[in-house]
Amino acid sequence: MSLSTESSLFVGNSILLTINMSNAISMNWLNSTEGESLLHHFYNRSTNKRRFYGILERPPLPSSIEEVTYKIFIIGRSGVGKTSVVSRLAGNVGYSGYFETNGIKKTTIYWPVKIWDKVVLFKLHFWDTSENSIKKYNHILPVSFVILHQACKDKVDAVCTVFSFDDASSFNDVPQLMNSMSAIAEKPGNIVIGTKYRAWSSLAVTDTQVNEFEEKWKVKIIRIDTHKSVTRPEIFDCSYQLNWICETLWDRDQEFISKQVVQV
Amino acid sequence: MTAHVMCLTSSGGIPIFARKKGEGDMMTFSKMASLNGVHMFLKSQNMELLNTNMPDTTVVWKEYEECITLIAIASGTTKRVLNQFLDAVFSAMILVVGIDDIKNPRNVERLKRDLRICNPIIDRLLECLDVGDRISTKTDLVDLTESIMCPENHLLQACLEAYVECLDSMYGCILIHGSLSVATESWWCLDPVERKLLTIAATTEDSCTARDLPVFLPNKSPNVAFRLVSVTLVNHIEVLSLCGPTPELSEVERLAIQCWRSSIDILRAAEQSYTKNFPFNISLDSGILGFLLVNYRIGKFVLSRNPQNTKNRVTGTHRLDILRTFYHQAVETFLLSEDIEECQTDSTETPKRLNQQENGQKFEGAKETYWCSEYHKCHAVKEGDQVFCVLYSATVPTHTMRLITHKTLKTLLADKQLCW
Ligand SMILES: Nc1nc2c(ncn2[C@@H]2O[C@H](COP(=O)(O)OP(=O)(O)O)[C@@H](O)[C@H]2O)c(=O)[nH]1
Ligand SMILES: [Mg+2]
Repeated sequence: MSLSTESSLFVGNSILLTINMSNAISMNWLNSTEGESLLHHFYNRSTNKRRFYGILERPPLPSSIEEVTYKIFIIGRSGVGKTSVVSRLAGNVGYSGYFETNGIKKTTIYWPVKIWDKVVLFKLHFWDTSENSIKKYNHILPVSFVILHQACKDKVDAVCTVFSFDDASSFNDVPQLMNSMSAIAEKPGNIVIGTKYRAWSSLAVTDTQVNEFEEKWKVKIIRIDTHKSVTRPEIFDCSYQLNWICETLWDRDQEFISKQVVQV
Repeated sequence: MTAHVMCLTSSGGIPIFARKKGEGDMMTFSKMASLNGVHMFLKSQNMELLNTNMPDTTVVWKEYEECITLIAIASGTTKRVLNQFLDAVFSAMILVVGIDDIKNPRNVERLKRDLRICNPIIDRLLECLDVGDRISTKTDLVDLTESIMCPENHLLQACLEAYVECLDSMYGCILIHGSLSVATESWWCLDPVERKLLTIAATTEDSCTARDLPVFLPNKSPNVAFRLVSVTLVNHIEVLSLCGPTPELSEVERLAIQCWRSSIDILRAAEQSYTKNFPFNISLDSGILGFLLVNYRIGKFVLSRNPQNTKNRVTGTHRLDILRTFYHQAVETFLLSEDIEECQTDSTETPKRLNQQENGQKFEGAKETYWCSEYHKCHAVKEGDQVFCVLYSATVPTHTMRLITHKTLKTLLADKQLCW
């Protein structure tokens, strides 16, 4: 978490009584005039492609716009769609075959959101790996195994647990997976994403189950279908998911700040 | 047209994996078993089955380390390329699991599972096969490093040296749209197939910001793994390096920012050389449709189309595919046969070849070769370690091809900033 400026502290102050989902983020802002006016930094209309930035670059937004950085570690059992989710959120569409993830993959996504009355640029670092990879590192690089596992968990702001809507057991695993990460010192926030979601069809994981889960764990489940074909610029089709991720991260920070304030 | 590759255990004939390119179904289990059966039977008779030719399809068998049998079936390509391809596939297997696990697998099911991460690499190697389909987006060659000649290369070279030193490594290279712009000396000392596999391994998935994966080096270090760490500096440009257990990924990124921060404009300028792959200030003769420049000693190539001619009838990847076909069928046969012989005697010591050499009848290889067809012509010259293949439009008179080829090669090689 690198929430730096004082102005954001004020925001924190004003919503001292944090509820679980503060709805601080305007979900449809990208479609507004202001949102549209910044869109070209994130989406290239002439090539119909999301803009991708290397580590030396960032979207050339006015310097008045605050930037916040988060590290998100993706977990979930093999094949549920961890890699596909990150790839889709980064702007890739179209199925490119299933390949197991080798090693660690880090993807940085820049995402602008409107929080209350100001625009904030979220810089989201997604860390993706696979169980097998970690085991393999352990087997072949004994020394650095600890480093690798640490690398993923080190200073992590949120753990994103992924399950698949067509596999009930992957859903049943979620609480245990979330729990397995609760020992991390930073007390990372929880994000839960369900892949292969199709509206209006019967799925192995039902809406009732999802509601119960959300009630019980006070965590929103974000639904996605990474294979869904897109008719409009793809960025609009995942803004809902990205906004929810940002909302979760933001709320966690506010809660953290408000606790600090209360202590003082 | 299709290409298949399959992998079985030598002793039990248990299938480990099968991949294919092109239309058609996967190889059935029974076909695989029969193909392997013939090989096994002949082995029991103390004979080694190498290959067989059908009217337009070739089958190649090869056994590795007395434990793995690889079989390739493809149409439109040469035996030499298929052999190289199988070697590369076996190397890819070592790259991901190491030689020990292949030679002494604790159990075959586990080996199968561990080798799954090899699939995207093998698929890319299949793409290198010239099977006459036009769906490939890229024209690549199995044992050569695909390169890009940017005018900024000499500047990037200096930054790269400083960067790998920071990482306490000796191995590093820069990829622009997946093509190599510059590399450290040690990187060039890697085996050509190792270089190929490392670049493929680092670029198999969608763009990501940084990657860290364990790799064995099939020749240099088949038992001990390194880490292949890649970082995307600016969109489409990655810097790769081979590291030991440290520094960890976040630290590598921090060092990358530190070393490259002041070079961002150079990097962006270098990216502009894509898709041309050679500098803007060099313009090609209007008769040239494209070229393939190969340094066969080092094992690298640049493939380019003449931007002046993009409106021409023979366009896109298909056009450049012709150069690859020409290279495999004419250049490797006539111009490089001597070098191929060298390689083969190294490994298998074919007695017949040795005899030929004793007689002093050794074929030195031709210096030039060309093809003419209805729509285009190909011409190649060999000069030192370079082979320069040029694709011309059919209107260029055959006797002037030689002139243009020589002149163009001279221009390309004269520019030392390209670090070719
Ligand atoms: N239809 C559909 N397929 C998906 C979705 N997410 C993932 N998949 C497929 O599920 C398989 C496994 O996905 P992957 O992201 O590699 O899983 P990982 O092992 O958790 O990283 C792939 O074939 C994906 O294409 C989704 O939302 N919808
Ligand atoms: Mg994955």
